[in-house]
Amino acid sequence: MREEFRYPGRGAPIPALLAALILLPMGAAAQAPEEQGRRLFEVHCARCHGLDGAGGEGPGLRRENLRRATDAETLREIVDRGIPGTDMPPASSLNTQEIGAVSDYVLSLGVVARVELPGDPAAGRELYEAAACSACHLVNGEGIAFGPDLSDIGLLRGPAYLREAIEAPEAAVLPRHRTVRIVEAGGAEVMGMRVNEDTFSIQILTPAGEHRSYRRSNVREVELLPAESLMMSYAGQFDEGELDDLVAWLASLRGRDDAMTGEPE
Amino acid sequence: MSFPLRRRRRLRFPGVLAILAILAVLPVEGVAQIPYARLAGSDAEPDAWLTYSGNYRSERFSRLDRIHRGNVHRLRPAWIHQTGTGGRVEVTPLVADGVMYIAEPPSTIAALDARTGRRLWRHDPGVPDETLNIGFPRVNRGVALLDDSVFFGTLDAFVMALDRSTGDVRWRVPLGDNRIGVAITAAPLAVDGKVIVGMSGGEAGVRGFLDAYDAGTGERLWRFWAVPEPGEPGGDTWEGDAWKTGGGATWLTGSFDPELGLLYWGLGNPAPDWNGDLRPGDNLFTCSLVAIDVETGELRWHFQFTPHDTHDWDANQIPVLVDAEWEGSPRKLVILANRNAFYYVLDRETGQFLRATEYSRQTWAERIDENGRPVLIPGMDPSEEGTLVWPSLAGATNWYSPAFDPNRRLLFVPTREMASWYYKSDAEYEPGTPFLGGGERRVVDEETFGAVRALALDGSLEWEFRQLTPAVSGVMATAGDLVFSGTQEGNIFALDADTGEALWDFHAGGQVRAAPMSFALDGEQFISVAAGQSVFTFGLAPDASPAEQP
Ligand code: HEC
Ligand code: HEC
Repeated sequence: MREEFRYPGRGAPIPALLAALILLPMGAAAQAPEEQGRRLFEVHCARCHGLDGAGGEGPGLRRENLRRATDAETLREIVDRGIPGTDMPPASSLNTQEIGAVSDYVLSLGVVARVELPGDPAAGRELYEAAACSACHLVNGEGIAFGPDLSDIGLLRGPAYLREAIEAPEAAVLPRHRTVRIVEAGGAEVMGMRVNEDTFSIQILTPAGEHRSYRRSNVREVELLPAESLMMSYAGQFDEGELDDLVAWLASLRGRDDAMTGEPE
Repeated sequence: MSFPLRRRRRLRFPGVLAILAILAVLPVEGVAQIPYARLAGSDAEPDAWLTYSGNYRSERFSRLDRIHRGNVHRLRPAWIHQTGTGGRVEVTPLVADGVMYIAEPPSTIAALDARTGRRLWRHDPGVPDETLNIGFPRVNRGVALLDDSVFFGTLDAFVMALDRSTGDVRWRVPLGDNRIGVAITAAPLAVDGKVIVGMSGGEAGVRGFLDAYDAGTGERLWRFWAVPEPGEPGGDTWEGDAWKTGGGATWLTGSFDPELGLLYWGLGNPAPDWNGDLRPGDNLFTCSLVAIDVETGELRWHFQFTPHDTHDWDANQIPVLVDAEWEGSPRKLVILANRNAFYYVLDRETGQFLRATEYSRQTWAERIDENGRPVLIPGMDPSEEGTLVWPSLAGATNWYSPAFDPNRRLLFVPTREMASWYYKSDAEYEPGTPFLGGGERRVVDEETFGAVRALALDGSLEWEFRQLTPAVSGVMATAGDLVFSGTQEGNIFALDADTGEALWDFHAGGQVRAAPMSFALDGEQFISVAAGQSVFTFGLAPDASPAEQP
């Protein structure tokens, strides 16, 4: 019975989990834990955190101080349960021992010297202003909130992903930022970002910042455009050095100092 | 509402006789009992909903037709019961004589006034926080009714009988040891004098079983082991000690044929789930449907859908009993859409395999052979680096109840179109911990969706109603030519039973992880279904009179 895969649910005794942890399964003992951890990372984590852990759709993990995974115990918990409300999924197919191995591997990444980014964040910031990125993004509360808030984008995504988001936004659209084209009953066409949807209705945010809701049965067409972004590509508008600067600035965005996140530090 | 009389089983004090004599002259109308005859004849009493799946054949078909295609657009909430317990509500309510009986997570039972939703009583058995639920959420899917009792199981694996009028405890007996992972989430099935109770815990490596208890005393009458010992029939499909931790949980409510005296129960997957190397063989009777003599608990026949399963495609899906012409002669059939993506027709007297058809995308079997055994596509077992297989771990369908319309002879199946990457890892049995040997990563992309599919008896697709996301809700059909179900996104909806066209929908604001049921009071029909943490009951809003119209 595994209708919804979970490890022991709410109220599961931690001692039982720890006991299972101490028990190394047979095959695993034969394999060096670091090697096992690296292999598991490549299979289960690399698609978001990058093959080497430098980040992608998920944050870079080659850092000594992780934002949420503040200690080894929390790290393990995050890997086991995921981070609810974000794109970080629970490692539901890994057993307790494997979660331990992959968590240890993530820890070992932290002592590797941080990848230094080429580029000058200060220059990047100026480019950001000049290119009117703030016409669609908030950074520390400033700008227009159409696209995602970028205030802590440096913690959430790796540099390669950030570069792609600028040059080829259509290749870096997260599922929840999906672009939608709707043909209304009268024939008018509306484009927007999918905000929510269900079997009977869909809600979008138009570039004018307006929320619209449609009954599927009342429109002519609802089309998801997975390969399109409402952010235009900036390919060719920046030279290599400028791109480096811009990425360096975005990567430096790690949340506002006065943020009241309610997260335990 | 007259005050219900409670019948005492044993008279401890002679003085009670005098009181009873007084009570006996008071009017007792409305004080109905629920004898076995009412359960067996429930089709004649469509105002009530007396068993988990609506009748012993598990049709989940309401014979009420006051709500129909012409007026279903007027369906509105009549009342909402908020459990406030924080957990998922997956119950199918039962209704008898104006009272609704529900289970709230993890194992609390409540009786509600079916007219208003006001609570009449509530019993919380006090499930300890440390109670294990390995492989399933902390839920309870419902109760059984018989005579003057309400029967249910608790997450920490006790079977209990409560007084139907007050919720006071009549008896409480242990079914198994929760410290090794045994739990109860399914609604029991009450038959003549007995309560049949299934258990959960396959993911903890528990050896599955099905129990029958005396409805009056709680005494255990028999136990059927889902995994045989060496030497018993089927015991040779296991090697070494693997049978001791072999799984085969009985975690959903089965069906019953009173004439044949047979229970039909689906059995769970083998343990560990994804690493089959640790349990060579077919692993009987896991992933099977079994027919069990209701008097003795003895196995009459079995049919295994997925021998040596390695994808957690258990066979607990609800079997529907149908009497129909089959290839020219009348036959007693049992039909079901299995988690493994095939729909099956069996002879329910003998267990003979009659037909299997694919009702949802699958990539693991070339076909089902003439004996009902799958011809496997090589390379579809879980692996260390992951193997992509349709359907996903949750299967092409799951515990979400199907419905069968006996007039149209259509089976409505909540369907999941989804693939998973299946992983294999090592596993060592440690009592009270997950015994899994791998897991899944679901694929969510453009090819992932859900549907209610209407299958003819031969398995052919009559229509489908497509949903945005894979189904997690059960389905109910009604004599009003309607099919009700819900979505993960929080919609509750009604379809035209002939076409699958959506005629009504309502956003409940929480996932619908339960199956709808229907009942009537004073000639008015209601539809109830749990969504999020609440139970919603809908009735028809009055027709706007001409005077009210602008
Ligand atoms: C589907 C993409 C995805 C996958 C797969 C994934 N992650 Fe993540 N992960 C994320 C995202 C996105 C975040 C950032 C969430 C946030 O804070 O908003 C994150 C956050 C984390 C964090 C917290 C980082 C911090 O700063 O504290 C850790 C640790 C982590 N992931 C480890 C892993 C490991 C180990 C795996 C594999 C077992 C994995 N992740 C798989 C997307 C993913
Ligand atoms: C016309 C509005 C618009 C403008 C102007 C715009 N963006 Fe975007 N941006 C979006 C939208 C919408 C998304 C979300 C869809 C997507 O990921 O493509 C997005 C996504 C992003 C993301 C990815 C966010 C995430 O959570 O993954 C980054 C990084 C980004 N933009 C940076 C920039 C930068 C830098 C500029 C200026 C050079 C810019 N944007 C200009 C609309 C805009």
